[in-house]
Amino acid sequence: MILPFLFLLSGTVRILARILHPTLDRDAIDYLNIATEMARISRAHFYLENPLNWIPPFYVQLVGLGINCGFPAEGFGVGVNLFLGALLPVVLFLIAEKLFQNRAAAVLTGVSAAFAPVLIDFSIGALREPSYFLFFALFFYALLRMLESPRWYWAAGCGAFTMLAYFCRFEGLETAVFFLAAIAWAAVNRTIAVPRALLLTLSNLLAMAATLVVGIYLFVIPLAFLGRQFFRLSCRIANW
Amino acid sequence: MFLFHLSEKLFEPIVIAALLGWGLVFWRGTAREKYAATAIGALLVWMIAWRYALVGTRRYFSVLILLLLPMCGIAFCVLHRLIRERLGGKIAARISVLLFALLLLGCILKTFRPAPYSQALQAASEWIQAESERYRSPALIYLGGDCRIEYYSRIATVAPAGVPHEIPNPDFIPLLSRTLRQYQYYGDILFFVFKTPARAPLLTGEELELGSGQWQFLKRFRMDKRNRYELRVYAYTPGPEAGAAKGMLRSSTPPPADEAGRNWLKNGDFEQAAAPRERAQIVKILAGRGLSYFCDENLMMPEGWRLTAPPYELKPYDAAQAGLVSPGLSGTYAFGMRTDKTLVLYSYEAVNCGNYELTFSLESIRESRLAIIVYYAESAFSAGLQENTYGVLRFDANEKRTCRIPIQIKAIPSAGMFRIGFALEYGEITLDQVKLTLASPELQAQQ
Repeated sequence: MILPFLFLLSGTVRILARILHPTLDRDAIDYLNIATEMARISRAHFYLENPLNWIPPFYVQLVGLGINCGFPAEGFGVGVNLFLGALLPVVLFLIAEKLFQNRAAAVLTGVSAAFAPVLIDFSIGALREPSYFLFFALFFYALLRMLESPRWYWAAGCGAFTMLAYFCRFEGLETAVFFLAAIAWAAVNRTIAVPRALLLTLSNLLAMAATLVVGIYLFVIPLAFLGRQFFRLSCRIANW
Repeated sequence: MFLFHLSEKLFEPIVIAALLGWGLVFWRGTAREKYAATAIGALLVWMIAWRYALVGTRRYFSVLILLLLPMCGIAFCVLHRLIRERLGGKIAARISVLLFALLLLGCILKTFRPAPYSQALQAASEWIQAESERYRSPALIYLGGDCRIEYYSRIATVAPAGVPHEIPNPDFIPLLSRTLRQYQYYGDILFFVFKTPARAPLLTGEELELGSGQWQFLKRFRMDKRNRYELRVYAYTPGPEAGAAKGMLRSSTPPPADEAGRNWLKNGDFEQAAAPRERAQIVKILAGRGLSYFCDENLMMPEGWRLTAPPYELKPYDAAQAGLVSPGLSGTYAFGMRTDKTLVLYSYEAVNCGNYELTFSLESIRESRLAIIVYYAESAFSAGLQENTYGVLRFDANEKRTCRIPIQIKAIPSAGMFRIGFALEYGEITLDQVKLTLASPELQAQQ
């Protein structure tokens, strides 16, 4: 009962907030314009025309898909975020429950997530954050489950959510570092045996690679773009 | 300061509750809670540290809220446990519920507080859209790069690059004045919108060197409660007299050739097709970019003209097309252009500087935007060509028009010779009867 309650509560709060604040963010208009353009011409054509303005594809291509199915850009873009934003408190509830083994703390976490202004602000616009936050939270849930019972599929889930978060925002890749740190910590503490830790890491890497390949295929991403992103990140780190 | 801004972004009561959570857990939490709080704290420090080092914008930090919320939840549980040990279960429950309710109330007030000024942009855009319905061909110019104005107003919009956004900038008024002249053919009314400090004086027509009645302040929209900034909407109306004197003639009749004097452009009526060798020169740049359409040897090109495109604009897969088409708007041939990205046709022979009038007949097959560009240099066309846009015109689908544009090349001190260019930004047009004649004495006097 708690999970549907949290979903309905956060969904209602977000819908009311959207009614009260209908003006979209400046970035949101950019994303909607990109999605509309992608729907108008082919995605591959769009990437060839805009090689310098590439953004992670998950959200804009999802909106583009909605436009191709006949939905209005703004309605679909905001609708997707309202849905994903309403799911987030549910996942945070599950995380808090695993983390503290305390049902009351989990409920309070879920309810406060349903009303947190920053989460609501992102959910009522056409922005990439709600999808990124959701995959980020799902990664942590999978990580906690893996640390609790070290099965390969939780490790693979972590890998898949890492890549999905990466397809929403580039900094989603940091979850890969969290996974490695967590598995190393568990191996050092001997909560997970070293061979099992290696197996989990392998499943994680394979899932990441598989999700990346499927994502590149589904999102029609030119490989040069990914290389450029890694190159830019390396340059920034080097400059720093 | 950074942490203050960060907590403002994430909402202070939640940050305070989460910090309280860490404090309470480390003071009286269970071993598991301490372990979890330590892990979350370590993650938080790592995430803040690399973001602080590598990225500047605060939006990157908003994901931290996902780590703060569980700490926020556990804070009230540990608090309840502590109070229950000392004051009993009922009081503990009441105090915890009250504090949590206060936190939620803060969140609700923050989210649902009425903010009428936050919608100034949308309100201004919708107001402009309503106003524009009275005009045949309205357009909107905005500065500041906020694409929401275009999105909500849904009328033809241009965001000229190169005009500074702030009024105190000394270049603002001269550049704005020049921009308004460039866009005077763009519509029968140009709404002009930008954000400005509320204390700044209104822009007047005299400052912009516009005629009386051409520049009008329409409305202001407050953007914040303290009235520091506002959106101002002005209207620039070139007017029928401006259109007749130095703008466009909205008729389908071509100008009388005899009265117009000598045409300084070679093959302005596009009646002479280029020989194969010259044809290759005309399309050299586009063919060199891999646009296979222009490699066709049967393609007819006009003598005395050249085709080009700005750097990075046209790629091999683009569907740009251009060439002589028959029948012409008058005569056997006209020049047809079709593109989704800027394609430029320019006269190859340079003309000495002076005050001229450019006239041309044009038929638009679909909605199009055309800029009239002058490429000029001090003496010869060796290197360092500069360009100046003399007008940006918008055409609806299936529209026939004859346009007359004054070219005041003499006003530019560094210009000695120049070429005329037609830059089709998008659309499909047929161009004919291009004439460059010395300006009439009346027009010379006005200029």
